[in-house]
Amino acid sequence: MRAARWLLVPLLAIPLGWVLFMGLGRDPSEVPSPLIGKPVPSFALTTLDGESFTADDLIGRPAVINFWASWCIPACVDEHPVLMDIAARYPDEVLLVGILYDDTPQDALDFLVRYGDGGWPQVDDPSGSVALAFGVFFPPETFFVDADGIVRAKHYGPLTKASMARNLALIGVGP
Amino acid sequence: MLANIGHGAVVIGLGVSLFAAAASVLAARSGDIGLATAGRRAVYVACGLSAIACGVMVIALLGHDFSILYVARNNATTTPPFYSFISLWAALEGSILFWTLLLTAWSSLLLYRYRSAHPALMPWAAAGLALVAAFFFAVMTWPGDPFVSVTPVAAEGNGPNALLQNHPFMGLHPPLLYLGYTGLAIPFALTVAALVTRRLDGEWLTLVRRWTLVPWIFLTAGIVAGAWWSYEVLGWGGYWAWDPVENAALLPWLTATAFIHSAMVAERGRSLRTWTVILVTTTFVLTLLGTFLTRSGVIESVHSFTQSSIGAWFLAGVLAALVVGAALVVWRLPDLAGTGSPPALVSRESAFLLNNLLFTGLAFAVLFGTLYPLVAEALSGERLSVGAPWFNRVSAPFFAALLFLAGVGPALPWGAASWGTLRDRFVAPALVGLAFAALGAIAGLRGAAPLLTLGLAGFSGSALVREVVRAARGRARSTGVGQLQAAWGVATRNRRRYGGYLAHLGVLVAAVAVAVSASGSVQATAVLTPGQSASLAEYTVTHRQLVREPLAADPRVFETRAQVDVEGPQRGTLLPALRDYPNSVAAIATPTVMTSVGEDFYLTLLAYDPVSGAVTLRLFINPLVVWIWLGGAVVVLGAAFAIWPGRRTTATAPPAAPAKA
Amino acid sequence: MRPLSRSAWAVLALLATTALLAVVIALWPSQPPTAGEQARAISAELRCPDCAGMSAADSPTQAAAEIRRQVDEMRAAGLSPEQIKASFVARYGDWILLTPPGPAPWLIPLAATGLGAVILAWWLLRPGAPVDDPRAAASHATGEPGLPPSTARRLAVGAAATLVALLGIGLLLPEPFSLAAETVVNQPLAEAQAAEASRQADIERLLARFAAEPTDRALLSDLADAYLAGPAAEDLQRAASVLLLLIGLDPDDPDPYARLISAYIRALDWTDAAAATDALAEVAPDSADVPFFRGLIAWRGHGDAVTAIEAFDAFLEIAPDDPRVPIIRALRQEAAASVDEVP
Repeated sequence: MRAARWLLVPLLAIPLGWVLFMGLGRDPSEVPSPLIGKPVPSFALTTLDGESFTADDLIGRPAVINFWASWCIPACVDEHPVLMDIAARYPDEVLLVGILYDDTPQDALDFLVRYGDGGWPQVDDPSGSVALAFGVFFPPETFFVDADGIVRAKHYGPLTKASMARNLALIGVGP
Repeated sequence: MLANIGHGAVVIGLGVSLFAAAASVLAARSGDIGLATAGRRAVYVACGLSAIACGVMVIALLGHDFSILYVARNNATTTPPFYSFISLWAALEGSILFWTLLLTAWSSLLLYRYRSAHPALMPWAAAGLALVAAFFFAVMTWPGDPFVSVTPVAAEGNGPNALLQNHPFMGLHPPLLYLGYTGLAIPFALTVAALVTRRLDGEWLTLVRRWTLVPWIFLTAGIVAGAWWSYEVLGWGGYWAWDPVENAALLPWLTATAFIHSAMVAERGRSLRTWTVILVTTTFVLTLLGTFLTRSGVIESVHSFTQSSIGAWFLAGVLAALVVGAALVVWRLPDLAGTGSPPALVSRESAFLLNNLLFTGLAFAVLFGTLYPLVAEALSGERLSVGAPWFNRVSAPFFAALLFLAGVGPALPWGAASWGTLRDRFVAPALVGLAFAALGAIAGLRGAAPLLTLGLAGFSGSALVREVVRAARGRARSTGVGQLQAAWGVATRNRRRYGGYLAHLGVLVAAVAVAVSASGSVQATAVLTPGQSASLAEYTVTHRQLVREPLAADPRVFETRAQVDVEGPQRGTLLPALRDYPNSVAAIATPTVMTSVGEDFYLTLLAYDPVSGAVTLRLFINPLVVWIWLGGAVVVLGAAFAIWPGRRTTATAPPAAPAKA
Repeated sequence: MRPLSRSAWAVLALLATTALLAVVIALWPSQPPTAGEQARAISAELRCPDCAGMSAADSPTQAAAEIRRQVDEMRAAGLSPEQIKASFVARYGDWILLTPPGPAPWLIPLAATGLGAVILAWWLLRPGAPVDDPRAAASHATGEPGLPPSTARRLAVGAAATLVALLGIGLLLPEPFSLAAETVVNQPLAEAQAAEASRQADIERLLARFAAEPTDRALLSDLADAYLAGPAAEDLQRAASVLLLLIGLDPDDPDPYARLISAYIRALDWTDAAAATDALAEVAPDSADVPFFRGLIAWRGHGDAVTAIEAFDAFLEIAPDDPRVPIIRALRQEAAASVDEVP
């Protein structure tokens, strides 16, 4: 009986320690997307060049949809070269689309002038309704959509070469 | 150079506090007075060293010394001196530095005050406090070094976090909160000492009670000031969002409040010792847990400092405190076992026990709500949120029952109550409560929560007032002085009791204000071009013009102000603004508030069109909000009155000897 | 049991009055919430995606504003608060709800407090403890005897039960009670409105694309279908215009004609319907649609039973397997009957 009550100590410490330790290992900004395995949400927007761009344009080849903003510094600057690299490497295999998150076209164009314009369509989302349809929390966030228009993966935060390659594999784009 | 001095002070501080701990433990075991003195003085030295480190940081901040990474990240050449100074605690590493200063200062104060008293307890308490200080010094030596240098030195720094440089309250509420948090290490250390030495007697209890009440006052003031800051700065018209960092402050406050009440029962006999020890330990663990939660990035929060390996250190600290506390309690359970009889069911003792049940139940609920997203994710991988709607709903019944007890407890006699006493003391207050609720309904209050709060506050308030009046009448009769003078005489002769009553009255005022402002707030959003007007209830606002210009105090900050004329019960010109900080993603709103006794008129600028000068304004009418701050001030005053040393100190001796000792 | 004293009756009466008053206060119908308040209540339950822990109702960010706008729209479309929240859960997961789903978050704090209450009650009422006569340990504060133990026990148990019940009611009620009249959602109407809203959205999307690609025939065809699905007369007019555009792009494609003719017919524009049918007869003289529409126009538009029957017979001969055969048979019977009546 006397020894049994010592069990109280680990009984208190271990569950609390476990929960907090699990919490420590996770990224608080990372939330699993309910969109994975579902068709890409439909939308119709206009690119910065004034052309129409809709969800239907995504179908037919694997697509990478990148939500970004000129004010999202340094994350969006950090990942920009990764996107440029993909645009150069898979000009025809992959459709790359940038969607502006709570940004003005002017600021976005300035960003592209400064950090390089890879030529992929940049789409304005003035009301933020498309970001909401995709369940975007905070830019940058990137969706990987396969040729059938099904969302296969979502990446939070700045893309790296490794995360880009891993996610591209999921939509059938290999090295 | 500066960085080396600061870093050196920290490293030496680590060594000195480890020495203080070792010397104190040896002194406690051997009874060697010289060693005890050495340990104590080492704690003073640790305090001096952390003061030097803080001083170095302040000098670096005021001098914009960007060779120190912390300064480069949290300061800019244009930052005004006041905000440079308070940047000491506005980011992660600096806040730990400041925290260490306050902790060692509290420790030194305790050890100096009792340098020739409590010879059995103090060395162990010194050892406990020195170990806690050593932990913080170690955090600053390794993962959270505030004095990391950077080369090459940039000509300009990032500037302070925009949200934290927007209001002078930032200079007030973190220090108050930290004084509360760090001070709560003292009752823990005293309790560890009492557990180790098996001196869980009246001497220990009196010490612990006093040294809990002092940090409790700061914690209370810090929480109220934090709510006020949130109201004045964040611009959403509210003051309490159940944000993890707010919960982190509330949790130890709840358990410390429970302790303050249970200690009064424990002092009257040998019962409740185990419970008291558990409350003190839990309170300290919760202060560390709060630190962990807000500094590890585990839970998103407005205030969360950036993620770093400090999280793992704090986790280890939380667990160490928990294991040490729990193990000591388990070890000494035989000594803690109560010998007294349980109190009568209808008595002040029982009311206090019920109070403890409610405070700890609420603390558990808040802790659960704060950690539930972590637990759910650990168990199922699902991401969940627990926000204000849940917390409001769950805490409301606890608060209602506590409001009721706030009047019942003080009015119930110690020992046991008879029907006659109950009738004398509660029939009239109950009628007053009913009348309050009825008057509220007539005055147009609607909804269960505010009317119930008003009724309960009327009941409890009148029960408290009745107690004071009863005592004052008795004294006026026996001494022949006037009633007011008699009331003052009664109060100063039993500061602890009447200070407590005053604190309870403050709580009642704040509770009514919270309930009424939450249910009676009205708001509207208006888009106005210059010259246009909009109205909300009896107020009409007219947008005059939009002004965009750099701030005089810090030209890197660009302010866009709407000049808005307000007509109505309160009138004047308000200048709600949005400030663009160079290091901030979003513009920071600077809301403006017009306060009167009855209501606040609160105006926030949400958006503007620089071309047309049109603005989007959010208008709030928040009734009674000012009474929340006033009620909070009364709580602090009451508690301060209770511990103020009086002519006749009743704090150390209960009014009457326990029935069975 | 002892008869209750007058003071006991007074206390009981007071308790009863308080309880009654509490119930009346709690259930008193406050003013029914306005549309704005209802929308605010919904967005107060939704977490703002790009801020820290705030609700969409309180946050100033663009995402929060868009959530508020969509909530307003969905409410206007007749969706229930639960449906609106579900639509956001579909995008963000349960994370977006500020009140976590399921009973566990409610039950666990309640159970913990209940457990505490049981322990406290056990401690206060533990057997063998010297509570035999608390009058002996009478209060030094009042100097009067306490309640008899059994009465005190009953009072305490009653109070504890009330407290637990209040906690339980406070936590578990799905919605705060109200005497105000309940509002029910007209589900078919709500669905129809939602469908209409989605159709309008489709149209906007197609129009936006049309502006960029004015020669995309598939797009125009979709646009015409979207208009044709609409309830209003102007939708039919627009459908007709779009179909005419489509025909203009490729006059030899018989496909749009049928829809154009049915648009005219639905708009009761018999003249244009007849002209379009003639045009179709030139493009596709063998099409079953030609006699089909000719019959329909003759009978429904002009009441010309003889011409109609001829056309119907031609249709039945050309397309005996057409799904529209039953309709045509019924119409033919109708026309034949009228011929018999009025020879």
